[in-house]
Amino acid sequence: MSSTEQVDVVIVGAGVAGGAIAARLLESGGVHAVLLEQGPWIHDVDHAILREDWEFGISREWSFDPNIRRLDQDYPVTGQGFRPFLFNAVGGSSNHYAGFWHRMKPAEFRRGTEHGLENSIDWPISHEDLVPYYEENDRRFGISGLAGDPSHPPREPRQCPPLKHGRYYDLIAAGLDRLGWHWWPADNAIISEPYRGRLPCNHCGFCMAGCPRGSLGTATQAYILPALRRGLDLRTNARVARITTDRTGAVDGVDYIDRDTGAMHRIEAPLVVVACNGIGSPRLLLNSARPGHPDGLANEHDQVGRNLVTHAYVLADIWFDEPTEHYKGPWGAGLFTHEFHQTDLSRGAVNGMTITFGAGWGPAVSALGATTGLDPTPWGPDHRLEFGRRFDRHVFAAIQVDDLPRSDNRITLDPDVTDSSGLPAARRQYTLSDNDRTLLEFGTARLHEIAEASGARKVDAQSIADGYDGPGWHLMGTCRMGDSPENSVVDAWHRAWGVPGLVICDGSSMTSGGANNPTATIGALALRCAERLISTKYARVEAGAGA
Amino acid sequence: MSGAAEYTSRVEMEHPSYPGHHAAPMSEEMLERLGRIADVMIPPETGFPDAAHLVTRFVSERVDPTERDTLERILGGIEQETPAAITTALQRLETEDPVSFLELRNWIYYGYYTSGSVVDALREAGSDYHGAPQPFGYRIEREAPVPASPRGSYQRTEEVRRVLD
Repeated sequence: MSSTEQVDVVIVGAGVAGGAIAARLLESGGVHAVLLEQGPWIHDVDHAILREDWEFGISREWSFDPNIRRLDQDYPVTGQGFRPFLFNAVGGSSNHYAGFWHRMKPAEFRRGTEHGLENSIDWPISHEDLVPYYEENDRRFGISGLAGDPSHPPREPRQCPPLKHGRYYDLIAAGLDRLGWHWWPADNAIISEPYRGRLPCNHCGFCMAGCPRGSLGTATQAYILPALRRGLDLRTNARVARITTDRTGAVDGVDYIDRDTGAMHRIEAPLVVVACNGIGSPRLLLNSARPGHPDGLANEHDQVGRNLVTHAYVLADIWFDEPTEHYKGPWGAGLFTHEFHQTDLSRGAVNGMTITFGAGWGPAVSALGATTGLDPTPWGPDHRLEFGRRFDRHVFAAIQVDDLPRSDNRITLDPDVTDSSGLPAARRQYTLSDNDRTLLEFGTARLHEIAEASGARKVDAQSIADGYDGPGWHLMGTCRMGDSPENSVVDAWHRAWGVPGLVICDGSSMTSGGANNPTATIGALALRCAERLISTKYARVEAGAGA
Repeated sequence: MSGAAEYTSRVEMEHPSYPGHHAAPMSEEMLERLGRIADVMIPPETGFPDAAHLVTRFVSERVDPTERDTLERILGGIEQETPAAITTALQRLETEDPVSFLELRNWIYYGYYTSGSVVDALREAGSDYHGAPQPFGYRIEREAPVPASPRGSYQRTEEVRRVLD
């Protein structure tokens, strides 16, 4: 061991959750917190979105998938069932995300009461418990949107008015109006007006390639930079190998590897907060197996890594004969419909869906068949003509289903593959339930109706008939909150069952995924978790105590 | 572009100022072959640059050793020289080895359509697409429409009931 030190709190993972908790602790004062991040800083000018070959960059070294990026800071995610999308750097996956900013609705916290299918349970908290933290998290990020959506509970005004979009938005909105279905301009964590010293969106296009302009709200802007100004002890390229416990079974610190030197360091702390996302957090707990915790930390009831929910998706390309301006405006979402968001048994399934419409990419991805690649521009004599039918003629659509938590949908350790430090890789396993499939098929049929009402030429929608390999943008449920160690990993305050001093707060804590992009919820959960840590003076108490 | 299954932990950046540029040398013969294929897949068009030069430059600057070896293996099976013969060979590859065909097509389409000179040609043809999204962005004056007749509802927490027996 190269060094040993003692602090009050160690936070592992500098994404939205870890950043929010670190920032709140620093604001409260009087605590020595260390934030460990296995990735580096990303400088504004590093992003591929500044490059001529930006579309190619996103397909390779800036891929959302760590198995394609193959960077030193990444860890492999083996297995199958979905494409794992995550980012290891200061700011975490918010460096490269859409900023589509939903809140969970009240019923989505009560799936156990509503139906209890597969492993569905109620959250141990309610929508109302999170509302003040949703509002605070919104203020930190800066949200653009329009008040008055009758499909959501009332809320405080957004920080900025709705964003502007390319013509695709108008085409789809008109179609939804013709059908008489619900739709609403999407909330996005992308500012449409100057906000707290940041430049507003200039409609440049593909936000998921990063936003060096700073209009896309990230964990770095919202939390980590303010925390650094308050003296946060942030250590980059610091890969936690294991969380350790004392003879009583309580947390007593972490061992981490400095990836720059290879040296192992130890930090002793009575409180460790794990915030590494729905894959990274269970991986770290499982990698922390030791005598006394032979199956991994907080895994006495074999719940760590199970109940993975990612949202079941069908992605689609809608093609028009007229210009759509798909390369303009935030990406980010343009608009969405919640016409089918609530459970309706007449569909043959419980839960619901969001259908989202957004901008596209540039000419290269248009040539390759856009999001799905189902109808690439043919090569040969007709290539130029067919390219003209694709570029500037495309709309992105996503059917996003509230997938059921299942015991066998899980993250485990790969016995054979390791990361660049020799630590076991994560392995994923995920299959759709019949309920998920029914909803996706229902949503696909509705999407065709929307496209037809919008005047589209055709729809290319991914099929789930021959298997599923959807996007794992949202990694949730693997250390979920609950009211019992038999069906969850943490309690209502994110305290791990059976391991005093261990706190887990990120997408993995979410009891269910809802049919909503989760970053707003993850940030709100983290602020709530931080408030509890502060109000209890960082007490190392048992899960369930004083809840 | 290379297979995710063969995970290696470090991407060697031979030209750190140009992320994604690895410049693993390809033989002249293979580059010429790649150029001929690019011109068949994306035929010449008045007002647009030819594909061969753009694609060969793009590929030669960016391939890493693994990608180069894969690409040269694919190109090794397409030694024809006339457009008609190359067309036949590509049709066969597309049918018999679709994975390799996709790899080849990805390099050619990315190489061509991310080129600044193709973006210039698109603009000459009437588009206002300007290439890399940042730093310039787009001016959009039009306000986004709002729902003509807002509709929708949600269940309050206390309204959630069992829906299954």
